[in-house]
Amino acid sequence: MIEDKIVQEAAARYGSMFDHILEGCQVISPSFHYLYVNEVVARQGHSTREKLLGHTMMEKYPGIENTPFFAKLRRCMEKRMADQMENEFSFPDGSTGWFELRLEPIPEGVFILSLDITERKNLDRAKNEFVAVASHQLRTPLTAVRWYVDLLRAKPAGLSALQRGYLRQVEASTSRMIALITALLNVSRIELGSLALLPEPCDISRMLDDALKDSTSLIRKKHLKVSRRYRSGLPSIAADRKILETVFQNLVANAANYTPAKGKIALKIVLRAKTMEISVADTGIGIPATARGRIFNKFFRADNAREENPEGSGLGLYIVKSVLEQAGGKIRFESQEGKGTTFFVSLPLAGMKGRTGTKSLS
Amino acid sequence: MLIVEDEAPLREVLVRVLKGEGFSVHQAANGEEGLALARKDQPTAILLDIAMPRMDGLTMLDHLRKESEWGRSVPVLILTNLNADDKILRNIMENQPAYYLVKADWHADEIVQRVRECVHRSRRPLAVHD
Repeated sequence: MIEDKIVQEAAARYGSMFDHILEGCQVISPSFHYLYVNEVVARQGHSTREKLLGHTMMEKYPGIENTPFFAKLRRCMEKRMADQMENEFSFPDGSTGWFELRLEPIPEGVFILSLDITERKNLDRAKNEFVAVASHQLRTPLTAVRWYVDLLRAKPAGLSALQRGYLRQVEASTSRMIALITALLNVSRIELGSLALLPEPCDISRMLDDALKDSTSLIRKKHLKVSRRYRSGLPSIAADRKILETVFQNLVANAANYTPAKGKIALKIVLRAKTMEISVADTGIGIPATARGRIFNKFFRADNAREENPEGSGLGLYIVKSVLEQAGGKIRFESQEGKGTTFFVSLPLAGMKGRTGTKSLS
Repeated sequence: MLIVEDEAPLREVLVRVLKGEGFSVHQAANGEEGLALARKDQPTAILLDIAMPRMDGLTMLDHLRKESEWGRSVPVLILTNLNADDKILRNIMENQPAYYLVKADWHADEIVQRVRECVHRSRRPLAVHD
């Protein structure tokens, strides 16, 4: 127990302000004693004010010192810097709950504002699981459409030119729908936080070449000029292959999609002290200044991108940025509307950290 | 060749394209039937769906790999619309199918191509294509 006097002083100072607020409010001392808690915190913590006040967090919630929340609290206590986070807590009775927490350094220690977001988290999870299940269910009938079209196209002799044209449209739309479902699945996996990271040695220049191959037909059709500026013998990087494939495929496909005929695409790899920087530059339509802040947002598409390629889903760059950041990489871009865009991906030479998870990208 | 797939329309396409390539084809609509046919016929390769009634493909593969010398080495192509979650990945590590393919991502002729690769060379280390 900490001295009653200190606790009483804290109660006098904060009680009148925070007793009736809807968020949880608490003051924690540098020795992690509860100096003040309002009713909401006590309820959130499955306890009472009397049981908490004057005791340490570790006493009341054994194991709390090993949570990411506690690491932040300690940092806030030492560095005197505000912070915020979402954390899932396990309570002594076996239940769990999600909380949004704001930490603010104050003279007595740290002031914590907590909001119970368990319900929102559960809804998010249900929504994401729904998308995952629905996507799987949608794939099966689409597979049937695709394969039966394949059968028809394998023996085109009995079909008129018009019918063959219709079949091409069916095939193109099916492919588009399958690609969209794959993107949605990836989004749900990213948002569920269930993405596994399996680092293995990756030859980056080779992966870039593979990404180019995937866009070959479009590059040929538009007579785009491609330059590859990377030397042989670059070090391989321990990274999740699927994640890097997704990143490079998306960036190269974007360059090809948003560059008018006869334009240029330039791929480059530069070694820096601790990172490898891969750039994908194009002489395409560029990103309008007003769209730059939102270009990585889910479903966002700039007006000129919509005009150039009505079929995009607005998920590509969102997925690219999310998976890269989860894997310790970074992405940025430079762009001038009407002139072109360059995306820079930087990967740590030390490689990605592995992570067990329940899903991989598809 | 043995095709184990519960969705009749998909099974029909696979049967048709593989027969067209000259393979002799047997078919089953779930893991239980598949396992019985595999034991009886010992096919050169097996195309195996995962989500099926009665016995799923992963369980069938488990049985195959454990119960006989032939079953341990027969090339198996997993053909599914499920994504590789941890259960599937673990099974892949343990049971070493020749391929793991997401059906929707592949054209019928590309699947035939993979089957040919499996049949024309001895079992190779795992290749995952999802």
